[in-house]
Order: sequence, then C-alpha cells, then structure tokens
Amino acid sequence: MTTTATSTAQEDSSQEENETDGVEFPRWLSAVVRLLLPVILMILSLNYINVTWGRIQWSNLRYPYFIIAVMNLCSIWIIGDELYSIYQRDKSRATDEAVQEFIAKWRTSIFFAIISIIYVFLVPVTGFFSASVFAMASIMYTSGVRSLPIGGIVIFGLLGFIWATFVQFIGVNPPSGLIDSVVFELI
Amino acid sequence: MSVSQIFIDAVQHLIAPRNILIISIGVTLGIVFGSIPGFTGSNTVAIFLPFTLPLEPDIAIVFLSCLYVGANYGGAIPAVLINTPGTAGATATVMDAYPLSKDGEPSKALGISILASVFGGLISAVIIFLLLRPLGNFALEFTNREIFVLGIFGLATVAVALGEDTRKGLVAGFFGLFISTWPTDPTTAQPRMDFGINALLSQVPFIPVVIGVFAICELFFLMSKAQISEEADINTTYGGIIDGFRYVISKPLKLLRSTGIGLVIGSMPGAGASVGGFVSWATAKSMSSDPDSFGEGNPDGVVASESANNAVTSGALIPTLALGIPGSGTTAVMLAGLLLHGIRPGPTLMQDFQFEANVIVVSLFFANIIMLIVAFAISKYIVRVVTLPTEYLVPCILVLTAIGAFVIRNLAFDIRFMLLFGFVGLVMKVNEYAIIPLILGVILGPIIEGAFLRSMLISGGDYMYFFESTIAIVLWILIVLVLLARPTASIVVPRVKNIL
Repeated sequence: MTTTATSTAQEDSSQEENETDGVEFPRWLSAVVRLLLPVILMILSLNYINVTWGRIQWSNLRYPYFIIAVMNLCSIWIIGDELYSIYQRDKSRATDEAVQEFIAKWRTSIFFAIISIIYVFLVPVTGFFSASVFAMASIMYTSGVRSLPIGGIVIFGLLGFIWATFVQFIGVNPPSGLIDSVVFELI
Repeated sequence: MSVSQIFIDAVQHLIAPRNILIISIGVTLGIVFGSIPGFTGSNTVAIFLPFTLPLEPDIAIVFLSCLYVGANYGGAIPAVLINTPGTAGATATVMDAYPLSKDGEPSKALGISILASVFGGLISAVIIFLLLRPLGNFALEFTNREIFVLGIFGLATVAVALGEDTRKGLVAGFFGLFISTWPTDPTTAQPRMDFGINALLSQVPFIPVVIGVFAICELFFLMSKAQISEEADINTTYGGIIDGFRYVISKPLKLLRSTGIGLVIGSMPGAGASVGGFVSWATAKSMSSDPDSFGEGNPDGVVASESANNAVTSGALIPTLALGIPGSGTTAVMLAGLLLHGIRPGPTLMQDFQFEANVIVVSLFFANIIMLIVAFAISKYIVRVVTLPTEYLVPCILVLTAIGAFVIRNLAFDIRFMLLFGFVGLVMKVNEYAIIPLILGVILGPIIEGAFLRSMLISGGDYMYFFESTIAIVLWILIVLVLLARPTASIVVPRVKNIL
C-alpha cells in the first residue's frame, strides 16, 4: 500500500486558524487586514443610524440600536487590542517582499477571486450558461488544467446536469443574456 | 397520540419508495462529499439546500439530515485511507484508524468506522425520539419574552463555544442580527438600510449568505491546495470490512459509552463532532487496560471516535429542533433549510410542526441503515473520490452554488450577494472570527426582533418585563455565566495549576 497525503483537511476544519500564516505582513498591511471587518461594521452602523434616525419611531429603533451598540462596543475593543498587538511587533517587513510572497502562495486563489467577480457580473449580461463556461474554463486553466477533452467533459457535463435539473425539472429560467438567448434560439 | 403511534406514522410516511430514494441519494451524496478533504457537513448541506426546493418541507429537511449523517461518516474514509480527516468530526478517528490501515488492515478499519458510526447514529436516534416530546412540552412555556432571551442566549453560547475570542464571536453573531435588521421595519414597513436595492427591501436573502460564507469561502482555500493525494493505491476487501463489523459487534458496552458521550456533547450548542470524537477517544483511552496502544492503531479508538461523532450528529438536532439553537455548524445551515421551507425554527417548532420534527428524527434510523449498505458497497471505490482533483471540483462547485443562490428568488442579485458573503466569510476566517454565529444571527434575527417588539408592546415599553419570568431569569443568568466562563477560566486555571 502506498499513500502520500497532506493533512489539509485538519487545516480546513478549524475556523479559528489564521489562513495567512506563513506570510508575515508589514505593520500597515496587517492593520488593514485585521481592522477591515470591525471598521466596515462601524461604517455600516453609522450609515444605519443616518438613514433611520428621525424617520422611524423610536420604539422600533430600540432593537436595532441595541444590536449596533453591542456590536460596536466589541468592535472598538477588538480594534484596540489589534492595534496594540500590531504596535508590539518589533520588526516590520518590506511591503513588496510580503506582497510578492503572499501572491506566490495564494496565486490560484487570487485568480479564482477575480474570475468569480467577473463571473457574477457576466451572468446577467451574457447569460448563465455562457458565463459559466467562461468561469469554469478560466478557473481550470489558471489552476493548471491543460487537458481540453477532460475539461470539456467536466464543463459541459455539469452544465448539462444543471440544465436537466434546474431548467427542465425545477422549471427555473437562469438569466439568458446576450449569448445564451442567441444559442438557445439556434438550438 | 402515543409514542409508538407517532413512530409508526413517521415510518409509514418515509417508507414510500420515492422517499427511500431521496434518503438514499442524500446519504450517498453526503458520504461522497464528506469524504473529500476540505468539504465539511456544513458546506455540503449549504451547496445542496437549493436542490430541495421542489420537495415537500419535511422530505426536504429529511434529505438535508441524510446529507449531514452521510457527510459526517464520509469524513472517516480519508481518515482511514490517507491519514486526512475529511471533516473535523473525523479528526480523532485518524489517530487509530490510519495506523491500523498502515498495518495492513485498511478494510477492517473501514468496517469498524462504518458500523461504529451506524450504531452511534441508531442508538442516539432512539434516545432523541424519546426526548423530543418532553422537550417540546417544555418549550410550550416559552412566550415572546423567553424567545427573545433564548435567542440572545443561543448566540452568546455559540459565540463563546466556537471562537477563540469571545468578543469576535459576539461581533459575528451581532453582525448577523444587524444584517437581519436591514430590510423594512416589521411593524411599520418603513425602509431601513436597503442601499437602494429592491432585492434587499423585503428580506435579506439568507440562503446566498449561507452558501457564501460556507461554500464559496472554502473554495478560496481549496484553490490554493494541491491534490490531496498524488498517489493512492489502497486495496480494501469486503471480507476485511466484515471483519471490522464483527469487531464492533463484540464491543457493545464501549459503543454505548461512546454514543452517550457523543449525544450529550452534541446536544450542547456549539460543541461539534470533533469535540465529541476527542472526548470519547480520550475516555476510551483512560478506561482501557492498554492505554499506550491508543494512537498506535487500537481498533477501540476508532470505535470510540466514530460512534461518538455520529451520535453528535443526532445530538445536535436536539437543541435545533426543540429550541431553535443549532448544536453544530451543519445544524445552523439546516435552520436555514427549515426557514426556506416555511418551518420557523424556535421553541414553537414542536407545537407547529410536530409531525415534521418527528419525521426528521425517524429519518435518522433510515439514514443510518441506508448508510450501512451504501458505505459497505462503495467503500472499495471511494478512494477515487478522496483523491478528486480540486482544479475540476472548484469550478463545478462555483457554478452549482451560483445557480443555487439564483434559484431561490430568481434574482441575479442573489449570486452577487452570495459572492459578497464569500468574501465576508474569507475576511472573517482570516481574522479568526467564527462564522456560525453570523449565520445564526441572520437566521434567528427576524424571530428575535419580532419577539422583542411584541414583548415591548405587551409590556408597554417596560424593559423589566424581560426579567419577570423564571425561565427568562434563568436564561439571563446562563448568559452571564456563559460570557464570564472563558475570562474566569483564564484567571482561575493558571492559579490552580500553580497551586497544584
């Protein structure tokens, strides 16, 4: 019996692990990454108060404002702690070096993120099926797939399954867009 | 209606060929997806949520339960064969299953894991079935006031139990509650924070949120990982698997003990299958006459871990069905499934949907029996799934989740919303925020807000109303205790260690 395995699932299983482990960011970039969520939450909270204050009766605002208060108290506490721990770090790396290392480690994931963003905006424009062909082919290519027959079988097999299950069986009409509508007319 | 009559009714409902087929498909898909390292029960259930749309509510939830049971077992397969737990629940299984497999007994290790899981699941299903009714009767005591406090208690418990940092868990949970306050005001229908997007005016689409933070988020990490196993040439035989079955049958007391541990741990909100598996494994080791052999391929270690982690699966359904507080990440996603099919989770579930709740629990019997057959049949071939290349898997999952997010409301916006929450999940995971409290907040948010508003109406705006019932007071005390548990432990434990 010969097996070689990496213990990746152990890493996946824990929600609490730091996925940027192995890439040490310079202080400013660490601060951006670690403060991103609490700062966004604070901005959203301010916006919520801005759009609801004076427009909705106070008795109905007590609940959302209670939620906002607890969330922001914890966020401020976290921001304080994060800033302190970032400040405590005695060395700071060069930004270029850290970014290059990060890109090298997460290259395929970054490509995946970019392709996914393009994909979700492409769906209503070109149609679900054509956008999916683009997304799947691009992701496979960037992750090293060079076998056209296998790639083709996977792409058209899955889209055929989706067509049969969702369009024919459930009766859903995915966005048809420019390309899909032309293709379906031809078919 | 007597317990036996309820059982017979549920069995009659499930025994229809179509339902048996749905259960079988659910279990098989669960085993297959659970055996792919990196895919947890939560991801699997999230991906398949939209596929349940054409099903009746009870059968849809049964399908999700079967996926959950199957995925929980599926995680043991790569643990046995390639030293990689497919799900968190199988982490303890690796310690003895893989050494056993390496010693030339992969079939026996697989057989033990299959039958221990099945027994764990079956025994715990019986206990839950008997417990569900009394718990449902207790839940009748819950009014709006108690529902509000219970919601806060559930969030606090899950936030504390699942995160390294209580504050981050609370931020995640309250972020979920905050998101649920974005649509129109529930009593005056005035718009709140919809960003001018019509799709957010009436409700926050919770299924795209669930799919985003569980499935899409995981894809980012799967992409950067190479194929799990480059070379896997593992031969298993049916005879060897039956040997494993014989071993499990010869250890009934150990099975019962591990199942009991798993059931108790599973019923605690936030404590997952990995905790159950580890506690059971450690207990088996401490009570063994040969503790040194644990971790070196002792079959009892596999029995302990597998029967406990499958009992956790069933145990986690107790707080989910009786109180609306999920016992695990997967049951949190299943709460979204309940809502999707018009079943409102919470203490009133056993009043309003008693039949559905009973059907779900009884389906666990069917799921475990079918799992025995399916796992036995496909175990020889499953190693091919374990080594499925991620470069083909990831794009397929992306497209499946996109159509899944779209299909709920037929809005392309929901696909973008799903991706947005994929990024939110990514930021949270990188910064060590627990994701499950977020989901719980989004799902329970409207229920908690409704309970709060109705309580305030009843009390005429008096906040003391929330402290005027015994159940509410007990829950407030529990909230304080839960929130103080970790800081207190961090002060007390080192001092006790110093004294000792």
